[in-house]
Amino acid sequence: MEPHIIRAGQVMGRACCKDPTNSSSVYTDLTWKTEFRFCKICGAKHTKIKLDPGTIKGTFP
Amino acid sequence: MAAYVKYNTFVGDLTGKVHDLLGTAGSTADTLKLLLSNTAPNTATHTVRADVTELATAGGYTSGGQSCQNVATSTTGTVTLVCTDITWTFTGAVSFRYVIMYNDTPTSPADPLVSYWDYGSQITTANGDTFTADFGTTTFTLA
Repeated sequence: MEPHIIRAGQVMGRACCKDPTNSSSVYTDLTWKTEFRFCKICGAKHTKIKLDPGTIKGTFP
Repeated sequence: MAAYVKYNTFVGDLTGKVHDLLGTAGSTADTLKLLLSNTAPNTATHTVRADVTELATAGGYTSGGQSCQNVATSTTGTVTLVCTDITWTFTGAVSFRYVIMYNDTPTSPADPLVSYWDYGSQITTANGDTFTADFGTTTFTLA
């Protein structure tokens, strides 16, 4: 299964936001573990939070 | 990455036949959803969606959240659950901090909680802003 809808470099939102040439650099917020970019045309902010996977381990004697 | 935080009720609900996660959401498995909240979750006392304070429908957010399109497979004793990234596109100011996963299928208890992730600080959106929950390659494994 393909786990991602959003391909690298692709941004949702308005038409101008979807054009990669209108995108700012990707900024990484290390404190809050997110990355974001801005649309140079409309100024919209596009934030991505990376969700850490969980592990649930059982102990079976 | 934002840390995965398990609700205490989840493991008990798994063994209590509340969750049916093996397979594809809406087909052979329950449908997991993500919702947004601006109120700190309590993993000890919150057990179902009604216990959390979800954002109201406004500014491009719809109460109930969005489907994770979850698919779980079992291989050599390990169950791996993967989800599809979710993006919200906002039409105005919405403030939130927490991304909460729940199971939308069970009715008793209704909408049991699974886990949450903390953005770290409150985020306030503007018209046209987007927020993407990036699951990576795995959402959680049970081994």
